[in-house]
Amino acid sequence: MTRALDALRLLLGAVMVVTAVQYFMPFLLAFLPVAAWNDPMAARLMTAFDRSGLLAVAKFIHLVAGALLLTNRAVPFALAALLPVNLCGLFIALFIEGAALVAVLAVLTVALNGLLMLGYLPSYRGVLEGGQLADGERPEAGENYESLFVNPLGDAPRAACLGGALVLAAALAFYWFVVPGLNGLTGLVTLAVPTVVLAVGSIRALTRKKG
Amino acid sequence: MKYAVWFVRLVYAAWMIPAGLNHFIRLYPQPIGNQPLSIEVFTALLDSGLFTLVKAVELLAGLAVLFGFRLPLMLLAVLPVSFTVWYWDTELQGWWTGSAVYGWAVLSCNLLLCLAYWPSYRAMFASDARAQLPSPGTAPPIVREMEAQP
Repeated sequence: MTRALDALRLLLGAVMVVTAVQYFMPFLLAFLPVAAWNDPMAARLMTAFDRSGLLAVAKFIHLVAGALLLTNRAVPFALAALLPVNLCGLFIALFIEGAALVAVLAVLTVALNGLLMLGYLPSYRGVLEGGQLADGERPEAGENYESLFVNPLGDAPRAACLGGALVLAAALAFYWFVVPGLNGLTGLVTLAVPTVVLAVGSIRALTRKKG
Repeated sequence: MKYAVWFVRLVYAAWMIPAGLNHFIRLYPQPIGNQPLSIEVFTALLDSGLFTLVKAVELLAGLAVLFGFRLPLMLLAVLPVSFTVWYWDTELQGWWTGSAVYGWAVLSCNLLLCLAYWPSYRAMFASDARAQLPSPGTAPPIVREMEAQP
């Protein structure tokens, strides 16, 4: 099974590198057919991507990630980097262009991308698991974001609530003084949620009897 | 360090949730750009339906940042969106414009938060990772552990 996955990894890497080289240096691969977009919306979108340089960015990701797949370096990262680009291609091929051949190729590419990611599932453990702590956080109440700003019953101590309130005040001040117009207002409204949660947690901390 | 992370989380969530929601419920006028190329890209995204996908990811990621749901995963999922926002705001709108400030802010917050959760991503960069599909009837350790979580 491992050999089959290695072969699929090399196949996907080769396809990504070849399509990228075909984009950047078409004279090298002049014998390969060039993808043509027949649907007006698809053609307009791809032209906009091409003229803006966004297509070059996508092809650059194909090139680097494809090279990583071929050389067996940081393969889980390369697959994760390829996925959004290939999903975008799938959306355009399937829902906008709608041509059978292009759609099948896009589905196969995403399926291959997904299958390989499944093969490297243990490498995505940290990304997929819940309850991860950020740098500097600890699992105790008041020592992580969730216990202060998400869970009103987090039992955070008073000092931790004060620290959280200062951070929240800084974020509120940022949206009040720095961000202009409706962007500032909508930001403040959004911050009402952690404000209420922290207020409830703080009241509970203040009224809690020392045990 | 944790206070800086909390500040960035709050600021980022308070930006991404209204920005994502604005496509589905109009909160403020959606900027469409003021350069020919940025307008062309924006209208093409909007008319093709891809913009809806982008805004849905933005909204989900904002909610994940605010409520701490699968944060490392959602930060990774929204990274291409943040990059595109940055590219549109800087390269297409102009490097020395007000838009560029927003572009830099969005991408910087996303990258800083990814950095804060770096241990979650470290295994993805291992050069000795081996591929192995689970055989029928047996789930790999990661799946078993995730299922066992309360």
